Amino acid sequence: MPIDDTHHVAAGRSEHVVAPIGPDETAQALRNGPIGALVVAAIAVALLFMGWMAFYFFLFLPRGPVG
Amino acid sequence: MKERAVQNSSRLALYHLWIAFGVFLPAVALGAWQMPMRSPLPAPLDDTNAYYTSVTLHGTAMAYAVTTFFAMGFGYAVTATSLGRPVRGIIAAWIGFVICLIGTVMAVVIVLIGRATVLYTFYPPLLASPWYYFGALLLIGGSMIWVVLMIYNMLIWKRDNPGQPVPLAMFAITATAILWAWAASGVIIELLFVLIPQALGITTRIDVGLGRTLFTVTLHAVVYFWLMPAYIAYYTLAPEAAGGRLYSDTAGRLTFIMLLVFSVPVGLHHVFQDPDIGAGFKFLQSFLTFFVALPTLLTVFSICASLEIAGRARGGRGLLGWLWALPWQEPMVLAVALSLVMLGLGGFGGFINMSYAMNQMVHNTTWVTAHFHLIWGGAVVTMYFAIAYEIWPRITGRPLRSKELARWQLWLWFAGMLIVTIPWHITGLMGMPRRVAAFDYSDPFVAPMGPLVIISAIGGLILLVSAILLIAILVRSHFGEGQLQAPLRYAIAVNPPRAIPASLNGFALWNAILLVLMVFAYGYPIGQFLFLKSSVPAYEVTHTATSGAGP
Amino acid sequence: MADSITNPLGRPVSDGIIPEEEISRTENQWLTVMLSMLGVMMAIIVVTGATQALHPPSNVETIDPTTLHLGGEFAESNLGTAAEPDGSVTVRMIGEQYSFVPQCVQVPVDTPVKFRITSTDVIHGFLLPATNVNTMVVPGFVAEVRTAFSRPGIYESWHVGPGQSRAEGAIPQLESS
Repeated sequence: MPIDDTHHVAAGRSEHVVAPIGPDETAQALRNGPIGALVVAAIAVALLFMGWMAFYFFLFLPRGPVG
Repeated sequence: MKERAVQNSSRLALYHLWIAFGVFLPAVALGAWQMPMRSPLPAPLDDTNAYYTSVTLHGTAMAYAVTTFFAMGFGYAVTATSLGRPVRGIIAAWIGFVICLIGTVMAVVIVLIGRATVLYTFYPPLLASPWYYFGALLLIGGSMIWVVLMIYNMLIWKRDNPGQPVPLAMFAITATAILWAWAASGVIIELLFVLIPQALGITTRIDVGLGRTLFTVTLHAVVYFWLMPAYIAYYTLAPEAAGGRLYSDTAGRLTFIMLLVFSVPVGLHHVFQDPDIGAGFKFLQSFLTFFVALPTLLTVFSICASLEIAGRARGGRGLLGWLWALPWQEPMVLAVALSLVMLGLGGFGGFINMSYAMNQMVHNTTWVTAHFHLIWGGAVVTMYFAIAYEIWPRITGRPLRSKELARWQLWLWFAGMLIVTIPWHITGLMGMPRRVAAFDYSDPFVAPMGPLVIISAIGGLILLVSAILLIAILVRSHFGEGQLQAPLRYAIAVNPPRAIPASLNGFALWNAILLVLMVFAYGYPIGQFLFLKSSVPAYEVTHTATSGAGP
Repeated sequence: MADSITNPLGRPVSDGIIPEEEISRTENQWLTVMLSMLGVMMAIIVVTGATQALHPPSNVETIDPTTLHLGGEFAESNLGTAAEPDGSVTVRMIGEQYSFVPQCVQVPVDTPVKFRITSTDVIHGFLLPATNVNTMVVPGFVAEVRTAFSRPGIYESWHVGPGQSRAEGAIPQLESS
């Protein structure tokens, strides 16, 4: 596996860094962009947002005013 | 000579990690005892004083000792491996280690003999023996040597490599160190100027509001001090372990910068209910807290993207096929997934906590306990385990005894933590308070909480089993058969940066911004105590329940 | 280093495996969506907070815990529920290890209630489950919480703070009718 000559930006010595996959495989993996990651992250964040809304409007507000 | 220096750096890291995990196991045992104690189940040594001593010890050990020693050890390991040369200032590092160790022992002994049952948040006007505060001061103050060494090592590397981007792991651990310095300032000032003078009898009254407000500077930022090593593993170790690349090096740098800048000026969200701070500043810091959620939201996406690269390269097809294709037999990969799930759940709880008035619903209840156990005890500590599994073999030269056992240990911890915290979330919403030793479960209001508390107590036992397994794995790996190990390897980014702006390669700008934010967010809340006459008598904590004394 | 002068917060120069602009764009898009979500949450908090008077209790008022019993607002005869001229009600309580005085308090339904609580000794927490009444009672300060009870019934309160258990028979209760 070729290691980029910029290996030192991941670590100071080449023995401390490895490029498990080369540039071609990386480009191939990302040919459609990180669409899978977007789906997973979006689902997670959507759940978080909806949960927050549910808590705010159905659990918190009904408990009455406070100040 | 060079090899000897490398060995010294490795030994330095290992000693810190030994202490961290050596303290961790008994601390888990204490927690596992506390759980049946406060449940309807019978428990050995059923004593209220013992409970609060245990809570103090468990909290102090986990929140201060395990975390600080782990961060220091990991920091030295990162310095040596990411910069590819031994740690500079090794003598100072060892001195720091000894100081921290002495402080830890002092604090532990004093708590054990019942002279410091003030919980790890100190809770003035409760007053512990001055030895407890001195112990805490030594532990926290001693770690400042580590902070200086992280900064020093990064700076001389930059001097020796002009114009080069600092390796992301080193950049991140230095951000962690700087954050810790900012965070620790609150508790150090509180110890030096509020608590210790009272404990020594120099002052006769104690300013509780000032003490609490100073402590909030530490209280939130410290959780990011704990969290950042886990994030370093997410960004720089996990992509490599999965067989892929880090999606964006820049996003990594921005994450650690945002964590540094936004973790500190937000502490007041821990004391929304305090009558010593006005609504305006509480709202301001709630607003700022939304910004500290940003780096985590960024991280979730970036790490998923990095793992996706690995998964697709391994043959994963379709929208989600990359998930199954990941090398799940690697403890680091499994740990990241389990950690991210707990980060999501715990983060959700955090969103509830920080939402200004909504905090009213959960403050002082077991919801809060559930939240921080899930986030720290779950998401973060799981990564600590994974880091230990990576570092130990690399330093000792002996391979991990069994990756399968390691995976079992991680799954057990995950299951145990969910079983502990999910019921706590529910009882919290039902109104069950925290910091209470015993409940009358025959009371019809409390009775419905009983089964939930029992479930979480069972979870505590599972966690104890997992913790024992962890130590067993590490010890057996330590003394196992020797074999040459590959050095600790860091992930490489999709586009390794060749030249980056100074703002992404150093912290001068960000420290300046943080200083402005701190003056803005904390200037008045702390400064007001100069003219608010609110000092009160202190209450010494002794083991005998004399009137006016604490637990 | 010249890059940092002409390109102070710009992106790295290298063109890499995937154009760095593409990676940056994706990350920025995600960041924007996240910021928007956070903005919505913040807006909800601000709007509901302003229109429904939702704030964490934040009255900053000092008091001397050592002289509470000598007279003044928190003298024992003055504790409990008191009607105000404007129709609202003020409930005065003292937190002391390990409970609240008075133990039982009555308040009217659908009436603005103001709790004023202080401590004679250590920090206490006052929490009414199923409501949003939740405050820290810090010695040296008067904690003030305002609410209204829309539901008649008995509210069991929790006294929160290290060093006490919920002792039998010492359960502070609030009854609204």
